[in-house]
Amino acid sequence: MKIEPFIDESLVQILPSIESGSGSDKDAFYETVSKKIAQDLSGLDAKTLRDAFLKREAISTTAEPLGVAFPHAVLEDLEEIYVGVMRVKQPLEFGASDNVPTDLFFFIIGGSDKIWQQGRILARLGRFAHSRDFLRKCRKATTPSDLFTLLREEDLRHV
Amino acid sequence: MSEEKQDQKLVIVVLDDREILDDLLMGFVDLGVRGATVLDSQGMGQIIRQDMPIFSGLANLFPQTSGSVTILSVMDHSLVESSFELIDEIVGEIDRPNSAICFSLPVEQFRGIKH
Repeated sequence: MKIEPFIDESLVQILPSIESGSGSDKDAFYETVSKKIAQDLSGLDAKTLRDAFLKREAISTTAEPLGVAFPHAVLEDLEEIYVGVMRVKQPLEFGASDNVPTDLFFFIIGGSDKIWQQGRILARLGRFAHSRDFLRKCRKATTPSDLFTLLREEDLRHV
Repeated sequence: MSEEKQDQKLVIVVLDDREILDDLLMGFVDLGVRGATVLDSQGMGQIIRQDMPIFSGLANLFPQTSGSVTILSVMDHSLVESSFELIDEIVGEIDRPNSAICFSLPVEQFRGIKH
C-alpha cells in the first residue's frame, strides 16, 4: 500500500535533543511531539494524542532493533490517516530489544475505523526499516525536506 | 462456478529460508493480503537424505536444507501479481537452490471467512 498520500509534512521533522528531566525519555518524547503535531494538524488535541501514543506503548514498546520505532496513535472520530518520520539528534531510550537507543521514529496517526489500513501502513514502514541503506540515509538527512524525499523515494522503490 | 470464485487464486510459497518469513508476511499485509496459513514443511530431498540411506551415495542429487515453511493464501486475483513481485523482491534470485518456489492456482470452491 503506497503511503505517499498519507505523508504529512508536520510529521516529518528533525528534532533537537529532548530533555527528559526526571521522567522517562519516552514520556518526554511523546509530550514534545504531541504538542508539535497538535500545533500543525488542526483538530488534534495534544493531550489526547499523547495519551493515545502512551496507551499503545503500554501494550509493548514500539521500538524495534537498529534504533527505529513506530509510534502509532489510534484516535476516535479521526477520519484521516497521517504518516511521517522524525529523527531526534540525540537518541532516546525506548526499550528496544537490542538496547540500542532510538533516533528514527516512523509515525502513524489514524482513526479507529481504519485499523486495517493502519496495519498495512505499519507493515510497509516496517519493510522500509529493514533497509539499512534507507536508515543510514535518514540519519544523514539534515532537513525535513530531505527526510520527506527519502520517505517518498523508498515508497516508490517497493511494490 | 460463480464469477466471484473465478476471481480468487491460491498462492503457494515454499520458503527454504525461514529468516525471510517475517519479511514476506509483513509484505503481504502491506499489499492487502488479509490471511495466510503457514506450515512447517520438508522437501523431498531432505527426507530422502535423512531417512533413506540407500540414497546416501547420491546425496548430492538433492540440495541439503534444514526444512522449509509453506505459505498458503487465498487472495483476490488482483493481488497475485504484486505478491509475486514482492516475493521476487524479498527472495532475490529465486532460481538459485535453497531459496523458494511459488506458484498460483485458481480457486474453484471456497468456504470460510472471506475478507
